[in-house]
Amino acid sequence: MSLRGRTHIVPHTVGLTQFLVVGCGRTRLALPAGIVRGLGRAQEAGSVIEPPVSRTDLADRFGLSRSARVEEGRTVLCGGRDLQHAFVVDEVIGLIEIEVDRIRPLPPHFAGPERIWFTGVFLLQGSAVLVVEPEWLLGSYPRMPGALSSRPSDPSESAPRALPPKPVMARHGAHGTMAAAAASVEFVEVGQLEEAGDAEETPWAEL
Amino acid sequence: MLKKPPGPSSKSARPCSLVMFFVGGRKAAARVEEVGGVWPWTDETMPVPSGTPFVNAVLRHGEEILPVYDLAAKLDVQVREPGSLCLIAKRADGPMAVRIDGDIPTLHAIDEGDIRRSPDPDPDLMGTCRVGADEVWIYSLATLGRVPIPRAEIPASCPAGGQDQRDPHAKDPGR
Repeated sequence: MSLRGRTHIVPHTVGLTQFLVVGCGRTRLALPAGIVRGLGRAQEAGSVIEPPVSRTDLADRFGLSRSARVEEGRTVLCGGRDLQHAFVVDEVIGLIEIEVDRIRPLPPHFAGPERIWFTGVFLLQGSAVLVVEPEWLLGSYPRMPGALSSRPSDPSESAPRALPPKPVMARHGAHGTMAAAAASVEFVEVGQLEEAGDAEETPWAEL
Repeated sequence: MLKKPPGPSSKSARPCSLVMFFVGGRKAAARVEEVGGVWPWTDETMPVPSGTPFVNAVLRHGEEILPVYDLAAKLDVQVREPGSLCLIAKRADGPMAVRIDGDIPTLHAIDEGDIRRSPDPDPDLMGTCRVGADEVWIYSLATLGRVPIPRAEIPASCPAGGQDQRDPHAKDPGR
C-alpha cells in the first residue's frame, strides 16, 4: 500500500473560546467573553450605567502600572449571575476567538496567588496574553493577600484568608463555550456602554 | 602550583564546567549543564502580576512563553544596558529567562572539590569558587527561585501549583 494514496480526512473538532483582550500598561489580559456585558469610555461610565455599579481600575486590582490616565481609558462592564462590576482599562484590544488548545497553563515558576488570578496564557499577535479567572475578578473569591512584593499592600488585606474549597483552574467550559460566547457578543453589541464612534479603532474585523 | 592536578589517585577530583557571567557588574556562575542557551535580550517581555518573588514577567521566544527571573533585582543591582543578554536557566520544572549583562559569558573548568559551601543561607546559591583572582558565587539554576509554598495557599486542584512545586527539602513552614 502506498502512503501517497491515502487521502482520507480525519475529522476533528476544535474547541473555540472567546475573550475580550484588554491592555493595562504593557500587560495584556483576556476576559472571558461570557462575563463581558458592555464597553464604554471611562469618563462616561459613571453617568451611563444604571443602576450604578462599583468601578475599579483593573490595573489597581492586579497592582500594575497604567499607561493612560483614568479618563483616557475604557470601561468594561462585567457581570456574573449576581454580580456586576465595571473595570477601567487602558485600552480594549479586541474580541478574539481562539482554539482552547492554544491556551497553556501559567508556567509553574509562578507559584503565588497569580495561579488563582490567571487560568492560563496564550500568544496573540506575538504577545503573551493572560487569561483572567472570571470568578476571582468578579469577587467570588477573596482578594489574595500579599499580591505584589513591589507595591505596598493595603493593611486591611494583610490578614490571611482561607480559599474557598472550589477548583480554580481552567473553567473555560463554564465561560468559554460557543453558546456562551455568542450570547456574550450579543450582549456586547446591545450593552448600554457600547460605543459606536470608536469602532474603527478596535480591530473587531480581525476576529 | 596551588591546585593539585587531578589524577587516578585523586578520589575527589571531578571535573566541572562553569559558565561565568555578569549581572549588574557582579560576577556569577552556574554549571554549564544548567544553562540552556544565551541570546540577545529582547524587550518583548510582558509584566505579569505576581506574588512569586522575582518572577514577574514573561518573555516570548518563538512559540514559547518563558517566565523571567529578575536576578538583578534579587542582587539589588541594575543590568548593564545596552546589549544585555538573555540566559536560559534550565530549571527542573521548565526553562526560565534571566537577564544578564552584555559581557559574553565564559566557560571555566574547575574541580568539584574546589567548590566551597557558601556561608550565605540563600537556597539559590550552590557555593563559591575561586576563578583566577576572584571569588565567584555559583548559582543553582535548576532550582533558582523555587520557593516552598505553604499548603494552605495553593488549592489541590492547581495542576502546576500544587505539591510538585514544592521543594522536597524545604522545611514545612507549618512546623
